[in-house]
Amino acid sequence: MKDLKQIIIDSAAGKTKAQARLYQYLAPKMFGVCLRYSKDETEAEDNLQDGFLKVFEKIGSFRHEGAFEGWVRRIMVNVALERYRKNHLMHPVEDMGIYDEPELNDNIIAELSARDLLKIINELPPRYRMVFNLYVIEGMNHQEIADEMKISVGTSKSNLARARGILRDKVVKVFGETENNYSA
Amino acid sequence: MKKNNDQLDELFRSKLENFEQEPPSYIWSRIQEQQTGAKRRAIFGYLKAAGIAAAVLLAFLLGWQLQHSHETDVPVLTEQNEAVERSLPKSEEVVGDESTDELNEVKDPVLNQEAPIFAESDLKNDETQIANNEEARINTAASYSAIADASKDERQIANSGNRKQETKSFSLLRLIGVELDDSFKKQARLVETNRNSQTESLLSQVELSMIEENARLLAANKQNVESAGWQVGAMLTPGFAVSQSSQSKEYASAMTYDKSSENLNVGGGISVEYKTNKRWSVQSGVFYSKLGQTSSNQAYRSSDLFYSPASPTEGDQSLVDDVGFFNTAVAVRSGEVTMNTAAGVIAIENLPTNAKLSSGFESADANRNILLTETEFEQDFEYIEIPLIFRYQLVDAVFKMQLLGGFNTSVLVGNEAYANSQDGRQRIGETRDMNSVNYSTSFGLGFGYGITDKISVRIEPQVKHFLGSLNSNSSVDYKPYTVGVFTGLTYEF
Repeated sequence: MKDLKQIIIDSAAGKTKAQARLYQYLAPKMFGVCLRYSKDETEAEDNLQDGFLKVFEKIGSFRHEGAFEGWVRRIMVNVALERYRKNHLMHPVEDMGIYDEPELNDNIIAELSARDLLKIINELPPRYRMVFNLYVIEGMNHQEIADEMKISVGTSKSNLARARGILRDKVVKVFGETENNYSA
Repeated sequence: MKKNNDQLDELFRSKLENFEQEPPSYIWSRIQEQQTGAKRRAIFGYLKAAGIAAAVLLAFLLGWQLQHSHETDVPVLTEQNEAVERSLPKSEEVVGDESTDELNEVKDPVLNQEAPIFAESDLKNDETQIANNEEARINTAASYSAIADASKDERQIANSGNRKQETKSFSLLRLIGVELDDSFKKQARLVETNRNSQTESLLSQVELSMIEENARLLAANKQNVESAGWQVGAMLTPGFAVSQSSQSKEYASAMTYDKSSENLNVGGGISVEYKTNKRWSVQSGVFYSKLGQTSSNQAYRSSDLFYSPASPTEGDQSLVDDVGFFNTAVAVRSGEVTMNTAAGVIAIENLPTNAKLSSGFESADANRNILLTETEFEQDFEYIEIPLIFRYQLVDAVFKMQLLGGFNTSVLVGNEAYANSQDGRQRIGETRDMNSVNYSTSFGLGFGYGITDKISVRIEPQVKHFLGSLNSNSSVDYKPYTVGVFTGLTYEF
């Protein structure tokens, strides 16, 4: 992108062409983010749409100090959080059970594609999916997650543990079995 | 365990952190549509403010006008008083030029008033305080005259003061006379006697009749100027609401069907109209109107079904065995049942009688369910409307014809959803995301016929079109238009 700053300024001025270019540049990346936070593509599309509307609404307040992509990504995550808060009742659940952990081996890891992993994430219960994404991919700590999701730190930790348990289980079950069949 | 976690986290992070996927092309179109909608909403915001300001201004003008018209009695008398005062210098000039004897002639009858009044008051013991006040005033007038007698040089000035006082007495007498005429006949007779003798002496008959004629014309003119512009009316508005809506593909895939695109409803209200000049007039008022949306559902033959209700009872089985029954797609989220219709999403609080909720037939989505019922769904929206209509007179005689057009601000006051079945009409909930304030444009023709000078019959066919969707849900664009015939009576002040 030759002059991102100028495109941002033009977008803030409401120029449709600049907004369209910005969208073309960022939409695939942001759709990837939205897909991680959603149960299916339809929900991800809605989040992407709402997210970009918010981006164009607030773009005038972007100070050109940090990375623009990071700023837009944060908006997408916030939209997903808002939708989650709106649609799901929050019950504090302290769930610190210890689960049997099947082993991941390198063969399994090599076989997995991003799309496979995305599918598994999409199938997680909404809160587990939110916590896992925020912790593992966005790099937030439990206190920050607890604040964002209006849950306790303990709940955030237990949700992460539970999410990891389910994900590991599915990865091994779905792809491990295939692996075993080949080796047999 | 920690190592395991790190390994898992790393797996997902590495593969998903920079994961990209091209979104469908329609997302950009939807974003653009929404942005245009937001701009339009901003414009409507200004229109709303302008509409409210205009309505407030009209209400204020009407209030001011009505209040002002109550005060007309007093100004007429005041002006009469002024008219008398204005006529005085003339007579004073004449008096000043001629001999002082003439002054006495003018003054004496006033002084002489004492005799008949006292005589009368002696005879009538039941005289009221009002009559006593009259004596006091006339006595005062007399004492002014006495001072005038004492000094010839000061006579002219004193006489002038005397006359003004007398004029005041005159106008007060008239005022009191009005009250007395109604309640105290004896006193009224007395005051009438005083009035006659006073006025005869102060002003000539010609002057008096001129004053009275002037006052009458003034009052008549005033009435003409004030009342010609204002009209109030009461209207009934039977009308058809023609549904016009579009939905996103996803929304429509799980939507009930429009039963009929037309709904007959009756509204009505009060109109206030101000005629700015001969051709133009502006009208506002308060109107009630109702919009209806009826939705049906889709018939499935039982043979098409691969689903049957879990553990069917006899009743359920008979339902399945029916030649066809109806199903409506609903969504269940957080224990709440919602249904997509052309006008928006109904949040169902009470399931219709005999309706059964089941899992979806075709979709694996756990949120998509089916409501089994023969029911027809009806959504009612009630609005209070404040119009701002401009009218142009094409024909302005006994028969009137006007072209009219303008804006309406509609405030949502009622939002109900009903289920109509053989079991009757049952309230099931309300429609979500309905805008509380909406704007519409009106165009039409107005026909009027004057039954009397003041009262006219009006028949006004009008088409009203909503400028934006009545529902804020981004997947629904519900913009009905209504064709109504405003029928009623108007009264011209």
